[in-house]
Amino acid sequence: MEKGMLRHTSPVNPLVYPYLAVALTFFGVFLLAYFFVYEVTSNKFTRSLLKELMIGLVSSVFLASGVLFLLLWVGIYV
Amino acid sequence: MRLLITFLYVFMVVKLSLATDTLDSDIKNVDIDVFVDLTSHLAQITSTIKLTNEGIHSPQAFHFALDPYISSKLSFIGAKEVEDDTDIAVLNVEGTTIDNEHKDAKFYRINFSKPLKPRATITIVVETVYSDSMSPLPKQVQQDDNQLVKYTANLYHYTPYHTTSAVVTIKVASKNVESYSQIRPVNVNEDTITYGPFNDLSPYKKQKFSLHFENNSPFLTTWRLDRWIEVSHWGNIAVEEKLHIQHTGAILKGSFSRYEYQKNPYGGSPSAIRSFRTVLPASATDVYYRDEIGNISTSHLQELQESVEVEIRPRFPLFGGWQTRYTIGYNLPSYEYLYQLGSQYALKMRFMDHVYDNQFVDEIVLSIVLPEGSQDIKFDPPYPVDSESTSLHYTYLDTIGRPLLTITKRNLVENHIEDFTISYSFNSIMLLQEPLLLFTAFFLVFVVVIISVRLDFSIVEDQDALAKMQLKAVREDYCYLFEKKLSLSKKIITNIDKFRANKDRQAFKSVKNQLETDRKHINNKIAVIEKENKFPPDIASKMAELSQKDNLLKQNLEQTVSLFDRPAKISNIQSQEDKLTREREELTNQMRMLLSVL
Repeated sequence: MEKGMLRHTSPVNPLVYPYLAVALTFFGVFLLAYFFVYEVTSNKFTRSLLKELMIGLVSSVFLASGVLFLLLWVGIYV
Repeated sequence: MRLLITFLYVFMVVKLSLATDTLDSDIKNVDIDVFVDLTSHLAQITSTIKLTNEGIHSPQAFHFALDPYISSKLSFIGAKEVEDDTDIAVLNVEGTTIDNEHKDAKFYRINFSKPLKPRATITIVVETVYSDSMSPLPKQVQQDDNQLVKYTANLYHYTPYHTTSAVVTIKVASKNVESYSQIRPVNVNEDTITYGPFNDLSPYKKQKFSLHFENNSPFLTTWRLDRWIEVSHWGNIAVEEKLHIQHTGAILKGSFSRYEYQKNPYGGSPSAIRSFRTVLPASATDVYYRDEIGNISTSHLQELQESVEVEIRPRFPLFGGWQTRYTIGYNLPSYEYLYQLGSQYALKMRFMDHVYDNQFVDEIVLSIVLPEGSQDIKFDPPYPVDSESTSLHYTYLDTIGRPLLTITKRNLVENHIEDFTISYSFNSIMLLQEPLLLFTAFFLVFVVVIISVRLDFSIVEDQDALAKMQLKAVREDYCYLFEKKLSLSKKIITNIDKFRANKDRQAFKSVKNQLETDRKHINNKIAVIEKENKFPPDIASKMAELSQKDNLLKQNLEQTVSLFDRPAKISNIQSQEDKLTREREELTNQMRMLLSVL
């Protein structure tokens, strides 16, 4: 071991994993639901690709981070 | 003069390097005190050796010999230098061979902390631990019988040097000593047998002796210990140990009677192992203890100040020859064992941890899984290991695989509980790989949905449905434009308020003009929609109503503007304003209603 090495800590405090998992997944799922509602209520003349992609993008970001913290919370340390 | 010094130096170096593998006959054992601890299933021998140098050179090391009878059973050897019962230095012990000496004996070179001067004496304590040195006699016992074992060894300390005086003290597991070799002088005091003192022993002197005594201490052998350490930079180190443990004492004769066993829970079945304690690190959390069937509920966890103790109670008591396989695992916070400096990381953990007191592990397979993307892995073991190999391990959210280091070592005892260090480099950006992987997966789902809703598999084009869809789209556009108009009217009102406050006519006028242009623009678009599409009568009437209300709203706004945008004051300005506001709000609400219907 090299001299001057410091103890390693997680980039995110493990104590907040549960809260992050719930909050981020909740918002991600909300956007997911909104996306599907939008998909079924619009038709090929009314739907806008940009809007769909944007909702999908934001939802994916929240779902991905939410699921990551969910995994960490339940003990699957990826 | 310089030449002479150089010559002397060279001579000494040559002499020293030769001395590593030749015996220094000038060393004599002044006093040897051997303490043999036979209270467990391991023979733990502490040899306190007082050496003297009777020559004129200053040797750097001396040799410790093991007679062939016992050398194959050696599990651990360690030496330290003591003075007045306090440890001074831990000495380096190296296995070696000596030419022209007893070929079947095993030799260890123990280096002094500083060369032993002529006429000087030094006290060295050598600790040796032997496994499998006691054999049960009788080989089979019944459930309620005590376990008797026989210990056979060389009584004298096996040494290549001449010994002036030696004493051997043996502590056995119980007072019940069936027999012991009658080599005088001998003295028995309860569970302690003392042989000696013996004077003037020649080198390699042998005297076989044996002891037969009761030893009900747990004869547990861990045949295999799979220690799995998984490091995550998200703040956790997961440890899992799979063990194969057997009672290697006297074999159970006859059948096992549960009735007899339960009848006398404390006195009966003395040689059976009901439970044992495993000591885990103090920061261990989420401890689990299970086997192939599942969780073993007959265990207890006790959190102490400096450790976590698990009382391991297998599903059945372990009688002689019986065995059990189980898994124990726990999580540790990374800050206890993982160190970091920039992108350099070092993990410092125990090579083997405590399983039970006086443990003997026949083989340990240590597997260390490092985070994906770790490079320049360097393993630094606390003692030589048998084999070391690297491979890849795939688990959750892995792409290129995590580096897996597998290390094996045979024949370990409690003294081998020491730290290893593994250092590696890791780029912190790689931590984002897992979230990115998840993101890609989710986004792919969205993209698949976006594409699939655009696929049209209909065989016949349904004109009616198409027209309806188109109409819906047009109506949406139409409504959107009117919503925009409403927001424009709101903007005019806020600007009127602003104008009333700062009286900046110029600014207000420019804003008003801008808004009017916007409105005209929207009106044009609406006109295009109305012209290009044919609407069903019910919708058309609603649209007409909407545009009528819109015109009224426009008039209302113009009146409101003219009310304030004039040089002279009007007397009943307040009542007029209220009236206009009321009218405007009503119109806005009506328009919103129409829009929601459309």
